[in-house]
Amino acid sequence: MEEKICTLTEIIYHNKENCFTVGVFMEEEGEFTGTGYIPNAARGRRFKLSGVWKEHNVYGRQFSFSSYSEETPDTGEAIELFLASGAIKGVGRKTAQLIVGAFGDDALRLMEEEPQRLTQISGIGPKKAAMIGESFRAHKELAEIALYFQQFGINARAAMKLYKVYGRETIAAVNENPYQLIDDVFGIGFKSADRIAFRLGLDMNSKYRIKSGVNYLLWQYVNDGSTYVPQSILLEQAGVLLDVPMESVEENIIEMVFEGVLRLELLEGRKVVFPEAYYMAEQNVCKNLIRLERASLKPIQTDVEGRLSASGRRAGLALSENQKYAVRESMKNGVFVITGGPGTGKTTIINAIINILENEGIETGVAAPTGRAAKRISETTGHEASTIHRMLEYYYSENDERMKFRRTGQNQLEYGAVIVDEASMIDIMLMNALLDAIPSGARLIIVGDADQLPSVGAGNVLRDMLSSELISSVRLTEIFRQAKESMIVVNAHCINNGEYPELNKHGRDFFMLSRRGERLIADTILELCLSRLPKYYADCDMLRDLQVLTPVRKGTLGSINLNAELQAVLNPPSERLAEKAFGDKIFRVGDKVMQIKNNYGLEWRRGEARTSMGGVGSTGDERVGVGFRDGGAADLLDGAEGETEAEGEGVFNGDVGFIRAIDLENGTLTVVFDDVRFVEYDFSQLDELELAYAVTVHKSQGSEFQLVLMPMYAFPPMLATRNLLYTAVTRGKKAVILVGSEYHLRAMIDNDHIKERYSGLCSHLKEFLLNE
Amino acid sequence: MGALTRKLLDLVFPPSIYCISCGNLIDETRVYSLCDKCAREFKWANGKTCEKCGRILGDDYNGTLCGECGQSAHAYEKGYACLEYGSCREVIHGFKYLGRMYYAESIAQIMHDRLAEAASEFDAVLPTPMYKPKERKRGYNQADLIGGLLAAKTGLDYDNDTLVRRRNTAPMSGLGKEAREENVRDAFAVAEGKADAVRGKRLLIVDDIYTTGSTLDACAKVLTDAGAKSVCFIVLAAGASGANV
Ligand SMILES: [Zn+2]
Ligand SMILES: [Zn+2]
Repeated sequence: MEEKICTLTEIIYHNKENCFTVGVFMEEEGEFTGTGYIPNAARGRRFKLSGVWKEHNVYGRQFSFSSYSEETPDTGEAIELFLASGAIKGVGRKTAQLIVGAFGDDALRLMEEEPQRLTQISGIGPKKAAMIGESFRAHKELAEIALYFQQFGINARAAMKLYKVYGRETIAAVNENPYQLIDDVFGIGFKSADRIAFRLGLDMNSKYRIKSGVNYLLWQYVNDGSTYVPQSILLEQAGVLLDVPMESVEENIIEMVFEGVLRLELLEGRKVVFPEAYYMAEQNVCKNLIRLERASLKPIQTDVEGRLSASGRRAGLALSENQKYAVRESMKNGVFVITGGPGTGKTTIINAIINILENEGIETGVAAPTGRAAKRISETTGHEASTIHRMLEYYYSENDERMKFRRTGQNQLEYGAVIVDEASMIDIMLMNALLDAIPSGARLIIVGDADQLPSVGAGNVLRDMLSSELISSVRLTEIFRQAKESMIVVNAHCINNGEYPELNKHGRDFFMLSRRGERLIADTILELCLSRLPKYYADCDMLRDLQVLTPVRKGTLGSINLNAELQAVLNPPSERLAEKAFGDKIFRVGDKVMQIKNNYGLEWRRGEARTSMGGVGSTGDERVGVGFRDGGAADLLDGAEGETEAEGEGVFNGDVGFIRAIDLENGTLTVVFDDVRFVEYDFSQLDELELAYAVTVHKSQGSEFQLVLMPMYAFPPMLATRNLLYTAVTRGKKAVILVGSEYHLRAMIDNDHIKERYSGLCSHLKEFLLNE
Repeated sequence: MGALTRKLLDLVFPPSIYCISCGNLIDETRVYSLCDKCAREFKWANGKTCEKCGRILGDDYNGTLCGECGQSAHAYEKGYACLEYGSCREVIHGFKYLGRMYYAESIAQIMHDRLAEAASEFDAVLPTPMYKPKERKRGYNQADLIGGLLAAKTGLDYDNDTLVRRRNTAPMSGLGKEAREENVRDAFAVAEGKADAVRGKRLLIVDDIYTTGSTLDACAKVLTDAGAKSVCFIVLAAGASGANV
């Protein structure tokens, strides 16, 4: 074994999954190539490596190391390289130069022990000096913790997450009970915790382990959309996962039932296991649906028939019998469900309903599950719509230290009618909250397209309500005359019916470009975005109006890779544009990004003009603003009527914006949503953002785009389904362009398999009535 | 296999009510007769694959050839694999050794979907042949079962009597690369009077798995020597890629 103290100067290869790294290392005697495992390898880090020399038949002599530890850099040069790497908050390239210039080899000791002496450097005040000192100490602690976890195969990124939660107590907390990591640390799963427990030599038959394992399996199903799991499946899988007898799994499940964590129920003749919260939610939704359904309604005085024919004449479109039926029944029932595909007149019906309700003087709330959908409904109906969360007044409760709804069963909404659209996206938890808050006697009208992909969250709410046949409903199948002009609408219905769409009809809006092989498909997508589409659709902005959709995340045609490739051509690196690497992504000023989880507490403020943003960073060089193509944010301000608050909270899953500024000194990144809402992200929050040049079809639910571009390829059978394709196609307004294999387009349409979700709502609804 | 046997086979194809990998009960809407769990956990070749042999490479893999193809040449032009062997070994085991002939339908469909439009680049489909006395003893040649169905699905000519195996070969499993090559040397030939079926043709050989490629190389070599324009192959599964970097 030989030991080497060296600095990583160049990364030749780094595998993020197993951390295998090939790099050029610099030691006093010169450079050498080294291979081994280093988590989050980054240039500038200093290591002590132990290993042996090996001869590789292609790559020549290499130092193959079997262990490493991080060394504190000790020369001025190395210190500067380390500081400039961005590891220390408040220190960028320039500050690093200044610090090393002033203190030389002593800089790091000083930062740790006497940070206030940094104030000798101009531009560093006492506050900033303290911040740098604190940040450096934290980095050192983290390095120690990362080293400790290395032995458990936990990489540095996961170690950082642990450190964020437990701070200095990290190692002690983990030794005490590794399974608590699962609840406390986002991204640490049962398997990591179990691996640690194993290394620590903890009992493999402990109740804590078995219960954790059961929870882990159950939540895998919940996260995949189910509200329960059949007990036999759970027992079998837990037995395999934990390598313990099924009887002891069953015993623990029963204990968890008594602890109030789980619920065991006999559902349609088989034993099933619910997480308690999901069981309660399903029960409540049933009770509330029946409560609203049965409540006596204030009769409508308006001449509904007269209005229906009048509104038809005025809008230049006659309502079909089925559509009139939908409006009439919405007035008669406490709960009414309207489902139908694009072009079947759902918006017209909503308009007619609002019209009647307004005439009656009935206060009506209109809402949708996402901000984008709500915005669209506001635009098409002229009636202010909000997100369901906003309608229910979601807020952060200081007392409970969590997000809560202000509108509940005890403090119900004051509406006489509630209309919710895009109901296919409503999961069981949100439905539960919504129904609780609706007063008896109010009309609830639920509108959606049951053939879209189901909600991301658990439950099968819309489909279950329809198939229970206990809630009055109508299914719209007829396409409006005008909508027939659009091949997108016509083809969406074809696809939904299992027929092959008509492609490339002259002068129309639905295209397929045949390309063979994933590389060629990807290249064609790039070329379309860069040159062909901007020419053809001159009125569309390729960054804002065009959306590349893909069924998958991984692979050449997955969102991760397409994003990297689209970023490289649509927003290439430039001296002028600051960037921040985070994990395997690079965020650059000007990038199109998407928030990937609901963050109700994230603050936004209304921006003035974009010129106020650039060039105010303390060193100037690391904070650069960027203008959009034609018409900056200022021009678009006029378009955003109705949003007048100066500031607010909440950025939602699926919200798309653009990076306006990156401030490396202060560790923040600013994103502008809807052209006016400015949100500042701390670098530690960047896991909530993803590049959005290409997004998965699942993430696009509820959004519409002028132009939709999607690859057609051999995607995994679980994803290559009819309803995924249908969902993707119905996102397009002006044009849908598919690139790839017509064979696979047809195969997707033929695959009408809908992934099974265990949901008890339909059975529970039927049961409720039987028991009366 | 004659037309009659194939007809009989149609009769014995049971309705796909069990997952062909784990045996769970499934409904008929499941593609390839796989349950959701297995379909999700299978490693499908829809990411980066070796440009020569078609086996799956990780998305992070540097280079276009797998370690093995980087080191040695092959007689075939290009291969297609549908899955990584490790993830679908139950399917292959059931198909090959438990007599589950009806798996051929799912396997052929998976292959058809893998080829998609590329199927039009071939003139004929050929199964990897089995030594006749051995085939009689087992009752079927698994490559022949898949090949016939794949040809029907793609509309390509099917030719299962041109490429023949002249002698029995030892089972490949457990043999090293060199031993495998030795094992198949001179084992294959183009049947007498069948030269026209090969000359100038673009051929696609069908087999169930690909490991070192010795069998497929040997087949490709005799077909190319007999004047085939090109010889490619498709297999259900290939082993994971060899050494990285
Ligand atoms: Zn299965
Ligand atoms: Zn290969």
